Amino acid sequence: MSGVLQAANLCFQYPGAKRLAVKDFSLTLDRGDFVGIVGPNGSGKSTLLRLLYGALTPDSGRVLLHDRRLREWPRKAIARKIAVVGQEPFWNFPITVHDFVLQGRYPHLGRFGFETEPDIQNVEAALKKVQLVDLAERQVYQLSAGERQRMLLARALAQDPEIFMLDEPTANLDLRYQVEMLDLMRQLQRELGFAVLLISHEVSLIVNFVKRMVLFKAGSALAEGPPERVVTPQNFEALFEVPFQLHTVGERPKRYWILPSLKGDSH
Amino acid sequence: MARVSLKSFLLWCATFLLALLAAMFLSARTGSVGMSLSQFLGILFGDKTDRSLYEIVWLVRIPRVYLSALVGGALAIAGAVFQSLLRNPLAEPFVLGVSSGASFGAIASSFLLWYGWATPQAMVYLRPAAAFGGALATISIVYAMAGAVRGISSNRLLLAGVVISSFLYSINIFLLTFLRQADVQSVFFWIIGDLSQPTRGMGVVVAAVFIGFFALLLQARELNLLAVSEQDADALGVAVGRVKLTIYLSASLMTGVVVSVSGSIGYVGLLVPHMVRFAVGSDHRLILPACLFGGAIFTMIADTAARTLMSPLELPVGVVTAVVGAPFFIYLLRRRSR
Repeated sequence: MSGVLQAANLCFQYPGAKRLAVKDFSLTLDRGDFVGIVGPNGSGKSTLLRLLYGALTPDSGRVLLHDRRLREWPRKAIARKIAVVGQEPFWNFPITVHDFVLQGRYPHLGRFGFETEPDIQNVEAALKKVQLVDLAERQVYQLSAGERQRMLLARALAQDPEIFMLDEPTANLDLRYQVEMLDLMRQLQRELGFAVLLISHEVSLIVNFVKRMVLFKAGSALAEGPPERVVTPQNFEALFEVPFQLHTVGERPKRYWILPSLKGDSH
Repeated sequence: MARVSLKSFLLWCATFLLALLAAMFLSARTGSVGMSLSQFLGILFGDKTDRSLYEIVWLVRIPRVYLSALVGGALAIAGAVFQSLLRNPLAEPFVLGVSSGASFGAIASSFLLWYGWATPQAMVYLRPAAAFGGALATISIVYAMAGAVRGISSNRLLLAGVVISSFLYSINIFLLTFLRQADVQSVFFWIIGDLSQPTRGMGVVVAAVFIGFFALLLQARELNLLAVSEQDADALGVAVGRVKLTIYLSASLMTGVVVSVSGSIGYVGLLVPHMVRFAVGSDHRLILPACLFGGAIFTMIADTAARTLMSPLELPVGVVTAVVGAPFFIYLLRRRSR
């Protein structure tokens, strides 16, 4: 079996650190996948993500992108295949929504010169998909948090990638925007067929969107599989070290309610 | 807003060039010795009937106009680039201490001349080179002091710059008192920045400024990405380490060589990039040439003011830029802390 992205037995240790940040992690990602890696803060999720898109190089193990080792790929070529949506940057300088999204075309441009008409069209299509066309000429600081998050997504779309990697995409959003973001991501994924890999510690919402999930703790996978196999109170207790209650609602689609048991409950 | 294309790039450049020529014309005509427009035009086209006026225009004012254009353009670009790279709108060569570092290099190299270890011809190269070294060393130290960790703390960066700057200021004055030929005028020259002494060997400085400028222009798109986020730039395929090194080297080179002929002139690198960003937007393919021209115009006007406001007395141009620039810095600081 060969996926678009294949990671095998990844190990990584930060220089000077006492223990491995990622140990013996394997994952295959294919077109149409929607995978969530969930785990507590400090479990090494972000490090793992950085290994998977080549910002870090594993000490051992390998990442294959289209059957070729990631570190043999030029950086720009990786960026044409993998788009990363990270934390929102701090806006130090004024920039318009359009100009920001245009940055997604960087990996497609030659060494010199300016963006061409197809680049601009690509940006406009991306803005349309996230419903920001009307705000294209606005300054970023005039946007709401949800709009800014969609703008980050539009830049990734403009990259025209095969894989989307999202690092805590809902971290700074309130519930409405979290749902909006994940819904949009799923809808785009169905429409365009790329693979989605997202990491998050907010498990209760994510679990209802992903097709497959990896429970990630202290640098390695506790369990992996579709939610119906992986989501058990035992697994989540092992993951977050709090007792959990689990409820499901309905079949097809099955919805999960994952609730931590609160100490005050048992009086 | 119009999209950035080759056409809009050339259009902006042409506009700025016209503005620059106009400013040069006015600046060369203005001075403590007055002359009529027709007299001035005649001199420009080679009329030597009034020998002293001819010499004032061609040997005093025009070299000074060129010098201020070169120095201002370089400082404005260095300012814009430091701001973008450090993602700090308050950064600029003077505030970061880079100018003081360049002054230090230039002053220190002067010992070679004054002790007879280097010829004046060699100093044409040695002084800008030493100033470049001083600038580079200073930005490295400031960067390290601010803790080059994720998203360098803005405040620590500025504090580090201020501390290094005041340290070097003292060292520079100390060194100047040791130089045999040090007089009040040359102390002023290095410390506050002055354009009244166009020196020999400008060719080296011009060449270095343009090498730096074109090196930066080739990184303009990378600068666009780096100004938003280093991590995002990396994920978008920018070779962050190599690009940053090129940019730091180029900006230090530009700052260093111009400080070696003008002393450290403050706030040009702060004021001009902000005006430019306001006018042309966030794309460094426009910001960089706009800073080259804008910095040239601004500094030329400041220098013209410096030599005419108190006429026949002349102020160092650094006094004029600081009087305008320091309040602007405070304004930015207030706006930022809100």
